[in-house]
Amino acid sequence: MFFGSLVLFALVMVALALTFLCPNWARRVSPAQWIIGGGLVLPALVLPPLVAWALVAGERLLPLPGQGVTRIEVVAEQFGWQFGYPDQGGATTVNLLHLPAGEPVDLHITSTDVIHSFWVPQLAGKLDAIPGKTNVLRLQADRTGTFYGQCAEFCGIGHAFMRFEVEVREPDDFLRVVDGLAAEP
Amino acid sequence: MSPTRPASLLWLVAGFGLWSTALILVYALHAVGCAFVWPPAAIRLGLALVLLAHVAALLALIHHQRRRTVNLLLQVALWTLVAALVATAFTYGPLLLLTPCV
Repeated sequence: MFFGSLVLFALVMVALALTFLCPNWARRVSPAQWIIGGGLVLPALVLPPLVAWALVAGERLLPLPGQGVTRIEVVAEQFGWQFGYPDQGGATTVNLLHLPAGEPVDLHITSTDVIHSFWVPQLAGKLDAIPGKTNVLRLQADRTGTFYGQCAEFCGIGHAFMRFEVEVREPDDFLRVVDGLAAEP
Repeated sequence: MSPTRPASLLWLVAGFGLWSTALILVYALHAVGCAFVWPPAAIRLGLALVLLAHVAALLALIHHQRRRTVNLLLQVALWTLVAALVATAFTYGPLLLLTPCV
């Protein structure tokens, strides 16, 4: 995806540079050809595959019930995040989310006070945390590491500081850490 | 070139006006259907009917405009109608294949 966008960006920049550096070349292309080529043909070639890929990926990540996916409960509250791991003995963490790498998890997101929004830019899109309603976000972290999340819906004076960390570990490590938290008194 | 009547300007927004009504209806039908747990087949049928009605309306307008390209404004209007038809099929068509509710 990244390299594809890089190629397209380079193509546009080369075309732009040629119009400055070789005006004769640019003049040989009529305005109609520019409009049809750049405005119709190029998007017609690029957009449908991207849309198809996004739709298939989106379907694969739908949190359909009964698939045995690890469940994590996310509760937002002015101005912090609590994460619960009911499948791992009911451990909880505050402002620190543990995730297994390479496995989908279902985050059941809600709020106890006002509307917040769960957002880890490197892992998934935003999803609102709404009082009295539970929204489910299925996400999969493809590699281990530390990522950062942030409330993405203005929720009060401490909104800007309503951040959390995401620790993504190998699945065995994830189980060991979360089971260890559950065993703590 | 014949003079342009002010009402002709409405032709410019007709195509994407219809695209917008399709968006509102599809959005509303989808949200209400999922909230009231209608069967997925019923939601899909409703979405398909909304889509078909809009495609038919756009085709009818295109058919009507094809004979009225007497000035630039009406030519542009015809092409916006064609663009709106493509946009309607491209943006709402895949809805019929996707899982409607979770």
